Amino acid sequence: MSRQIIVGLVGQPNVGKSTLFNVLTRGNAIVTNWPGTTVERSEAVIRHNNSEIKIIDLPGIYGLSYLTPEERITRKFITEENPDVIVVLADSTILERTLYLVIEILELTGRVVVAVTKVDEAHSRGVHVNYDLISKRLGVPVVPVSAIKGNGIDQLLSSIVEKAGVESPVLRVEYGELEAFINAIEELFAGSRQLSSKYPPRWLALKFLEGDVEVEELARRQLSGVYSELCMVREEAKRRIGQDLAAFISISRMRFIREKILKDALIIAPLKKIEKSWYRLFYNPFTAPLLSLGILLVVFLAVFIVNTGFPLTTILDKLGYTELASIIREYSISGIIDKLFTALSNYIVNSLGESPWTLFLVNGLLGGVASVIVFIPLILIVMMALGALEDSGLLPRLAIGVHLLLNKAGLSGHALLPLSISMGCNVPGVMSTRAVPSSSERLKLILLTPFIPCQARLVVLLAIATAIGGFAGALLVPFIYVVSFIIVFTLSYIIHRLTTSERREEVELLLEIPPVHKPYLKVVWWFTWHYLKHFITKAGTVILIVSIASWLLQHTSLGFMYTDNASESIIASASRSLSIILRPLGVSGEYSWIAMYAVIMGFLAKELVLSTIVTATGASDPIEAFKTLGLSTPSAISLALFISLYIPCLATVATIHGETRSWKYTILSIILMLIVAYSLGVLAFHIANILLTIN
Amino acid sequence: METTTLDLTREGSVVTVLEIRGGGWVRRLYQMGILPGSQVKVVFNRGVGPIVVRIGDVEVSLGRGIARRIVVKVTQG
Repeated sequence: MSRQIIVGLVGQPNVGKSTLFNVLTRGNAIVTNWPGTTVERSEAVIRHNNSEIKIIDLPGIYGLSYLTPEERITRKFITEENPDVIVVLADSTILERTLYLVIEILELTGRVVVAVTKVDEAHSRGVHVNYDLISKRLGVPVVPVSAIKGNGIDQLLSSIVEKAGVESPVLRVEYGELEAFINAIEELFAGSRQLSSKYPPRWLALKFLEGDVEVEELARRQLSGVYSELCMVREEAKRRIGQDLAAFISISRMRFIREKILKDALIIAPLKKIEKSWYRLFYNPFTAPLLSLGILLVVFLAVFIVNTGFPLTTILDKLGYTELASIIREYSISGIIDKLFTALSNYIVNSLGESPWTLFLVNGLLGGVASVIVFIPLILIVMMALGALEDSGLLPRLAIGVHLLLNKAGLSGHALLPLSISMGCNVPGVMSTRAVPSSSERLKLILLTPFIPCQARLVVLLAIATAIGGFAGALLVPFIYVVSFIIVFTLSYIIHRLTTSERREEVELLLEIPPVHKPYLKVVWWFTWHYLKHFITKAGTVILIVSIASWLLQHTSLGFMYTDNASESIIASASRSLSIILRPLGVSGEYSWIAMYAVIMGFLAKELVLSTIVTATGASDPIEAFKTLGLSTPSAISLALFISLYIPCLATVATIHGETRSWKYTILSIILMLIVAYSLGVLAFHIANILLTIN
Repeated sequence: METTTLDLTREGSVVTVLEIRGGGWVRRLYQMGILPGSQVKVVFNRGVGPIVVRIGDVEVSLGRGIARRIVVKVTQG
């Protein structure tokens, strides 16, 4: 058998790279991080005609400059990992622009197979391409594929196998007036054996002229003897060309694509174009915010109703249809899961008998697993809804629609995705900030998205709301959502005001708007899985471990013996001495330590607040348990607000650190949330007290 | 021919990019096909909010702060 073929998959964002990768690997990828970065590296090994192919998915990039971590990774991969074949994707619907990356890579290496994606879509738009002619002109195989329909995949794999081990020359793009300067610099670079064995000298020359940071550094270190000469040639070139050399080089490449590669190879038969004027409603500064917010509201209300029954159940309750409301609650996703786990634990207790071990199994282990699994379907529904919005092309339009509103708070339309995903779970919410182009805006979002109530907090809040009951109970959850968003926007505005004007300018929108189409279920699922995966791996492990550990702590007495009575446990006595902290929120009395205890557990994972109160009070369900605490309505409201805001859960803390690689920033995030939650909690208690006594 | 910045162009007009005046977004703009010499159609511009332009077959939305840095020449409309 022949050796393994190493293949790198490279493409611009939105050309269908993840779709192709998933089709090629049939979803069996191993995901790690690129060394020293937080950028994901997915790879998979597949077989094709007796050959073993290892496919590595490289991050989406627009070009090969050395500016973003993604571009650096791709360059390092090509020059240092020596892949046998690089599959570069070009989008047939926007061939001219996406060939740009193909050209840039072909100038660096000839080990390329070009995959032209979305051919079915291009065809339906009247785009016809002569792939053979383009392949001849580029000097490498060009394979049309339609990943969604699975067309061309076999040919692509065969081309990869054939191409492996076959060297072809790099592509020579004509740069007109700049040629003389390129040649001069190329010769100087060719003088260094070390450099020219690793990179084509002409490519180094171009990158040097473009002002590439890495090549500049290489030249300075390895060609120190002629470095000043190199710079002189470049200065001369700048004078001669009379404009930014990077721009000149980009323009020449574009012209080369138009005049040398695509000429007579691309025919666009203009189909009868139906100008869909309703899309423009998303651009209009007056209709766009209303339309976008309206769509988001409807989508999230639908998601919440499917997940928990709220707010439909609250409305039905108020209208007197309590029976209907409880049916909806029972058959919402969280209701169904709840029932399943109750049945399962009853079954275990009945068949194994009641002993400390069964209790550990049921409440510790099963409870731990449950607190993870319960949220999988809830987060799944949120991600599916967002995935459908994203794939249909609506999400970028919504981002444009809310850009002006977000801009007033010092954010851009790019913030929409992280904020929306956070409504499902803060862990993928923080991770999704990677797509935000401005680094200062991204850091701000990492700090602020944990204020957004996730599905776990929604479930906790709903239980507290039901326990409070009445008018105040009905308004509690909407109130906390509104407060949370006001906090995010206010803090963002304050940070925005405090930053320098240069940073402030970065809060801008630059977004490609893909065409609107019906979402493909497959693609929606990939989006969903991408974010859900983070919850399962990161949050899942953290929650599982801490809920087992906490069960053990709850059942160990001060004398390190097993105890049935949670109030005798180590953690209970710690909570008793700390419960004074909650006094300003109006939490006092015999059971106030339980609230403190729940607050401590809630740091580990917010959903543990409920189960902690249930086990500590010995009540049969969360609502009963919360009532046992005997809190007045104002202090219950203030405690709910505090619990929702006071801290990012442990999994989110781990994610914030993973994304920022800064302890300072991570600790800042915790302190910020504590301060905001505590002061607003105290404030809410006093205001509620006044309002409710007036009534 | 009239030289202006992209944020001041009329909706429906076709413009040629002359220069992009600095800022951290330059490279990304180049890579998206907005660079000196490229022809851009202004699809949407109402004086407030993001501008939408069309380059070839792709629509791109840009904030006004970025558009202000793009110097263009109106070629049509």
